[in-house]
Amino acid sequence: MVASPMVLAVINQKGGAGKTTLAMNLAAGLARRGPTVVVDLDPQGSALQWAGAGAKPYPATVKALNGRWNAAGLRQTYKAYSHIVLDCPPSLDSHASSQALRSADAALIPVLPSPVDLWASLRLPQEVEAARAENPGLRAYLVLNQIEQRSALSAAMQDALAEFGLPVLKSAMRRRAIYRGAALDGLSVYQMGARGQDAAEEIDAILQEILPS
Amino acid sequence: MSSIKDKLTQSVRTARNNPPATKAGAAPRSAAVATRKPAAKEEAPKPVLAAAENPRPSTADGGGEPPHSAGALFPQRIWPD
Repeated sequence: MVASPMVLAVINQKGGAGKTTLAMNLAAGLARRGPTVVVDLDPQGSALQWAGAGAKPYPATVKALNGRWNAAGLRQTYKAYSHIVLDCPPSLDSHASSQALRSADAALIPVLPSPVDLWASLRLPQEVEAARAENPGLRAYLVLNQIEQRSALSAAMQDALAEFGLPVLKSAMRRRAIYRGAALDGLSVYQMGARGQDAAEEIDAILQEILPS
Repeated sequence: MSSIKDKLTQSVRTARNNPPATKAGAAPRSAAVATRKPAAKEEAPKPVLAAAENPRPSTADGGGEPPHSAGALFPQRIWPD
Protein backbone atom coordinates (compact mmCIF):
# COMPACT_ATOMS: atom_id res chain seq x y z
CA MET A 1 0.00 0.00 0.00
CA VAL A 2 1.33 3.43 -1.00
CA ALA A 3 1.37 6.00 1.80
CA SER A 4 -0.60 9.15 1.19
CA PRO A 5 1.61 12.22 0.70
CA MET A 6 2.09 14.60 3.59
CA VAL A 7 0.46 17.94 2.78
CA LEU A 8 1.88 21.19 4.16
CA ALA A 9 0.04 24.46 3.55
CA VAL A 10 1.94 27.72 3.85
CA ILE A 11 -0.74 30.30 4.38
CA ASN A 12 -1.34 33.86 5.49
CA GLN A 13 -3.80 36.39 4.17
CA LYS A 14 -1.15 39.10 4.43
CA GLY A 15 0.99 39.57 1.35
CA GLY A 16 4.75 39.74 1.80
CA ALA A 17 4.78 37.59 4.94
CA GLY A 18 7.23 35.16 3.36
CA LYS A 19 4.87 32.39 2.23
CA THR A 20 6.71 31.58 -0.98
CA THR A 21 10.14 31.89 0.63
CA LEU A 22 9.13 29.48 3.38
CA ALA A 23 7.30 27.12 0.99
CA MET A 24 10.15 26.91 -1.50
CA ASN A 25 12.83 26.32 1.11
CA LEU A 26 10.72 23.85 3.10
CA ALA A 27 10.05 21.95 -0.12
CA ALA A 28 13.77 21.86 -0.87
CA GLY A 29 14.39 20.45 2.60
CA LEU A 30 11.63 17.90 2.13
CA ALA A 31 13.01 16.96 -1.29
CA ARG A 32 16.09 15.66 0.52
CA ARG A 33 13.79 13.20 2.29
CA GLY A 34 11.56 12.18 -0.62
CA PRO A 35 9.91 13.34 -3.85
CA THR A 36 8.30 16.71 -3.23
CA VAL A 37 5.99 18.96 -5.22
CA VAL A 38 5.23 22.60 -4.58
CA VAL A 39 1.70 23.43 -5.68
CA ASP A 40 1.51 27.11 -6.54
CA LEU A 41 -1.99 28.24 -5.61
CA ASP A 42 -1.18 31.93 -5.85
CA PRO A 43 -2.42 33.56 -9.07
CA GLN A 44 0.76 35.66 -9.01
CA GLY A 45 2.68 32.45 -9.71
CA SER A 46 5.67 33.40 -7.54
CA ALA A 47 6.70 29.81 -6.86
CA LEU A 48 6.67 28.99 -10.57
CA GLN A 49 8.71 32.10 -11.30
CA TRP A 50 11.15 31.19 -8.54
CA ALA A 51 11.71 27.68 -9.90
CA GLY A 52 12.15 29.01 -13.41
CA ALA A 53 14.56 31.78 -12.47
CA GLY A 54 17.83 29.89 -12.35
CA ALA A 55 20.23 28.09 -14.60
CA LYS A 56 20.47 25.20 -12.13
CA PRO A 57 17.39 23.11 -11.38
CA TYR A 58 15.35 23.79 -8.25
CA PRO A 59 15.26 20.48 -6.29
CA ALA A 60 11.47 19.95 -6.13
CA THR A 61 8.77 19.91 -8.78
CA VAL A 62 6.63 23.05 -8.97
CA LYS A 63 3.13 22.94 -10.46
CA ALA A 64 0.26 25.37 -10.69
CA LEU A 65 -3.24 24.33 -9.69
CA ASN A 66 -6.21 26.37 -10.86
CA GLY A 67 -9.94 25.89 -10.71
CA ARG A 68 -11.88 23.95 -8.14
CA TRP A 69 -10.38 20.98 -6.32
CA ASN A 70 -10.59 19.15 -3.02
CA ALA A 71 -8.38 17.20 -0.64
CA ALA A 72 -9.03 13.81 -2.22
CA GLY A 73 -8.36 15.14 -5.71
CA LEU A 74 -5.17 16.84 -4.59
CA ARG A 75 -3.78 13.69 -3.01
CA GLN A 76 -4.81 11.65 -6.03
CA THR A 77 -3.21 14.06 -8.50
CA TYR A 78 0.10 14.16 -6.65
CA LYS A 79 0.13 10.63 -5.26
CA ALA A 80 3.56 10.02 -6.77
CA TYR A 81 5.09 12.46 -4.27
CA SER A 82 5.91 11.98 -0.60
CA HIS A 83 5.30 15.65 0.22
CA ILE A 84 2.98 18.28 -1.18
CA VAL A 85 3.71 21.89 -0.22
CA LEU A 86 0.88 24.31 -0.93
CA ASP A 87 1.92 27.90 -1.53
CA CYS A 88 -1.34 29.71 -0.82
CA PRO A 89 -2.59 33.02 -2.21
CA PRO A 90 -2.66 36.09 0.08
CA SER A 91 -6.37 35.76 0.78
CA LEU A 92 -8.43 33.60 3.09
CA ASP A 93 -11.59 34.03 1.06
CA SER A 94 -10.35 32.13 -1.97
CA HIS A 95 -11.30 28.56 -2.81
CA ALA A 96 -7.60 27.66 -2.88
CA SER A 97 -6.91 28.83 0.70
CA SER A 98 -10.07 27.25 2.01
CA GLN A 99 -9.26 23.89 0.41
CA ALA A 100 -5.60 24.11 1.43
CA LEU A 101 -6.63 24.21 5.10
CA ARG A 102 -9.07 21.37 4.52
CA SER A 103 -6.41 19.26 2.79
CA ALA A 104 -3.31 19.87 4.90
CA ASP A 105 -1.76 17.76 7.61
CA ALA A 106 -0.06 20.91 8.85
CA ALA A 107 -0.46 24.60 8.12
CA LEU A 108 2.44 26.97 8.57
CA ILE A 109 1.67 30.64 9.01
CA PRO A 110 4.68 32.90 8.52
CA VAL A 111 4.40 36.16 10.43
CA LEU A 112 6.68 39.17 10.22
CA PRO A 113 7.72 41.01 13.40
CA SER A 114 5.45 43.94 12.71
CA PRO A 115 2.22 45.06 14.38
CA VAL A 116 0.55 45.54 11.00
CA ASP A 117 1.28 41.95 10.04
CA LEU A 118 -0.03 40.70 13.36
CA TRP A 119 -3.28 42.61 13.04
CA ALA A 120 -3.72 41.40 9.48
CA SER A 121 -3.28 37.77 10.53
CA LEU A 122 -5.85 37.75 13.33
CA ARG A 123 -8.50 35.97 11.26
CA LEU A 124 -6.34 32.91 10.74
CA PRO A 125 -7.10 31.11 14.01
CA GLN A 126 -10.83 31.25 13.18
CA GLU A 127 -10.19 29.89 9.70
CA VAL A 128 -8.07 27.08 11.10
CA GLU A 129 -10.82 26.22 13.58
CA ALA A 130 -13.43 26.24 10.82
CA ALA A 131 -11.28 23.97 8.65
CA ARG A 132 -10.90 21.51 11.53
CA ALA A 133 -14.60 20.74 11.29
CA GLU A 134 -13.79 18.93 8.02
CA ASN A 135 -10.12 18.22 8.66
CA PRO A 136 -9.85 17.38 12.37
CA GLY A 137 -6.21 16.31 12.08
CA LEU A 138 -5.05 19.74 10.94
CA ARG A 139 -2.09 21.07 12.91
CA ALA A 140 -1.34 24.78 12.59
CA TYR A 141 1.75 26.69 13.62
CA LEU A 142 2.89 30.28 13.52
CA VAL A 143 6.42 30.74 12.20
CA LEU A 144 8.34 33.91 12.87
CA ASN A 145 9.95 35.28 9.74
CA GLN A 146 12.60 37.97 9.24
CA ILE A 147 13.52 38.04 12.88
CA GLU A 148 16.28 40.51 13.74
CA GLN A 149 18.52 39.60 16.61
CA ARG A 150 18.83 43.05 18.11
CA SER A 151 15.30 44.23 17.50
CA ALA A 152 13.11 44.76 20.54
CA LEU A 153 10.06 44.24 18.35
CA SER A 154 11.32 40.85 17.21
CA ALA A 155 11.93 39.87 20.81
CA ALA A 156 8.43 40.99 21.77
CA MET A 157 6.79 38.84 19.11
CA GLN A 158 6.59 35.61 21.09
CA ASP A 159 4.34 37.17 23.73
CA ALA A 160 2.19 38.92 21.16
CA LEU A 161 1.74 35.72 19.16
CA ALA A 162 0.46 33.95 22.25
CA GLU A 163 -2.69 36.02 21.77
CA PHE A 164 -3.45 34.06 18.59
CA GLY A 165 -4.07 30.84 20.46
CA LEU A 166 -1.98 28.89 17.95
CA PRO A 167 1.37 27.28 18.79
CA VAL A 168 4.47 29.20 17.73
CA LEU A 169 7.39 27.18 16.40
CA LYS A 170 10.56 27.56 18.44
CA SER A 171 12.51 27.68 15.21
CA ALA A 172 12.26 30.89 13.20
CA MET A 173 13.63 32.39 10.02
CA ARG A 174 16.01 35.24 10.56
CA ARG A 175 16.26 38.21 8.26
CA ARG A 176 18.93 37.06 5.83
CA ALA A 177 19.91 38.27 2.39
CA ILE A 178 20.58 34.69 1.36
CA TYR A 179 16.84 33.95 1.21
CA ARG A 180 16.45 36.66 -1.41
CA GLY A 181 19.63 35.57 -3.14
CA ALA A 182 18.35 32.02 -3.42
CA ALA A 183 15.11 33.27 -5.00
CA LEU A 184 17.09 35.32 -7.47
CA ASP A 185 19.05 32.24 -8.50
CA GLY A 186 15.93 30.05 -8.63
CA LEU A 187 17.37 27.82 -5.91
CA SER A 188 16.91 26.97 -2.26
CA VAL A 189 19.20 27.97 0.57
CA TYR A 190 20.43 24.35 0.60
CA GLN A 191 22.06 24.98 -2.77
CA MET A 192 23.80 28.21 -1.80
CA GLY A 193 26.91 26.59 -0.35
CA ALA A 194 28.47 27.95 2.83
CA ARG A 195 26.54 31.23 2.48
CA GLY A 196 23.27 29.35 2.84
CA GLN A 197 24.29 27.07 5.67
CA ASP A 198 22.76 29.03 8.57
CA ALA A 199 19.52 29.52 6.68
CA ALA A 200 19.43 25.83 5.72
CA GLU A 201 19.80 24.95 9.40
CA GLU A 202 16.83 27.18 10.21
CA ILE A 203 14.70 25.41 7.62
CA ASP A 204 15.84 22.01 8.88
CA ALA A 205 14.92 23.02 12.43
CA ILE A 206 11.43 24.06 11.28
CA LEU A 207 11.00 20.74 9.48
CA GLN A 208 12.11 18.78 12.51
CA GLU A 209 9.46 20.51 14.61
CA ILE A 210 6.61 19.80 12.21
CA LEU A 211 7.44 16.42 10.73
CA PRO A 212 6.08 13.41 12.56
CA SER A 213 8.90 11.73 14.47
CA MET B 1 11.78 46.52 25.96
CA SER B 2 8.92 45.45 28.21
CA SER B 3 6.93 48.48 27.11
CA ILE B 4 7.27 47.43 23.46
CA LYS B 5 6.21 43.92 24.40
CA ASP B 6 3.21 45.26 26.32
CA LYS B 7 2.26 47.66 23.56
CA LEU B 8 2.46 44.98 20.89
CA THR B 9 0.47 42.48 22.92
CA GLN B 10 -2.10 45.12 23.80
CA SER B 11 -2.44 46.17 20.16
CA VAL B 12 -3.11 42.56 19.13
CA ARG B 13 -5.71 42.21 21.90
CA THR B 14 -7.41 45.41 20.83
CA ALA B 15 -7.42 44.41 17.18
CA ARG B 16 -8.81 40.99 18.04
CA ASN B 17 -11.54 42.29 20.35
CA ASN B 18 -12.57 45.08 17.97
CA PRO B 19 -12.41 43.41 14.59
CA PRO B 20 -12.74 46.31 12.19
CA ALA B 21 -10.76 44.20 9.75
CA THR B 22 -13.83 42.16 8.81
CA LYS B 23 -15.98 45.28 8.62
CA ALA B 24 -13.31 47.01 6.62
CA GLY B 25 -13.24 43.95 4.41
CA ALA B 26 -16.88 44.51 3.61
CA ALA B 27 -16.36 48.19 2.97
CA PRO B 28 -14.67 47.86 -0.40
CA ARG B 29 -17.64 45.85 -1.66
CA SER B 30 -20.08 48.61 -0.81
CA ALA B 31 -17.57 51.10 -2.15
CA ALA B 32 -17.41 49.11 -5.34
CA VAL B 33 -21.17 49.19 -5.58
CA ALA B 34 -21.07 52.91 -4.88
CA THR B 35 -18.57 53.45 -7.64
CA ARG B 36 -20.66 51.44 -10.03
CA LYS B 37 -23.68 53.71 -9.56
CA PRO B 38 -21.98 56.90 -10.75
CA ALA B 39 -20.60 54.92 -13.64
CA ALA B 40 -24.16 54.08 -14.66
CA LYS B 41 -25.07 57.74 -14.35
CA GLU B 42 -22.13 58.70 -16.49
CA GLU B 43 -23.50 56.48 -19.20
CA ALA B 44 -26.84 58.27 -19.13
CA PRO B 45 -25.69 61.22 -21.27
CA LYS B 46 -25.26 58.93 -24.27
CA PRO B 47 -28.97 58.64 -25.06
CA VAL B 48 -29.25 62.38 -24.50
CA LEU B 49 -26.52 62.97 -27.04
CA ALA B 50 -28.19 60.56 -29.38
CA ALA B 51 -31.47 62.40 -28.93
CA ALA B 52 -29.72 65.69 -29.59
CA GLU B 53 -28.50 64.33 -32.87
CA ASN B 54 -31.97 63.27 -33.91
CA PRO B 55 -33.37 66.74 -34.70
CA ARG B 56 -30.93 67.18 -37.58
CA PRO B 57 -32.39 64.46 -39.74
CA SER B 58 -35.91 65.49 -38.77
CA THR B 59 -35.35 69.07 -39.99
CA ALA B 60 -33.82 67.75 -43.14
CA ASP B 61 -36.89 65.60 -43.68
CA GLY B 62 -39.18 68.58 -43.08
CA GLY B 63 -38.82 69.95 -46.63
CA GLY B 64 -35.23 70.69 -47.41
CA GLU B 65 -34.83 74.44 -46.67
CA PRO B 66 -35.77 75.78 -43.28
CA PRO B 67 -38.63 78.30 -43.41
CA HIS B 68 -37.69 81.99 -43.72
CA SER B 69 -38.50 83.81 -40.54
CA ALA B 70 -39.42 86.96 -42.54
CA GLY B 71 -42.18 85.12 -44.36
CA ALA B 72 -43.50 83.76 -41.13
CA LEU B 73 -43.49 87.14 -39.39
CA PHE B 74 -44.80 89.29 -42.32
CA PRO B 75 -46.94 87.01 -44.50
CA GLN B 76 -48.63 89.97 -46.35
CA ARG B 77 -45.48 91.74 -47.36
CA ILE B 78 -44.12 91.28 -50.89
CA TRP B 79 -40.39 91.10 -50.78
CA PRO B 80 -38.39 92.28 -53.74
CA ASP B 81 -36.58 89.62 -55.69
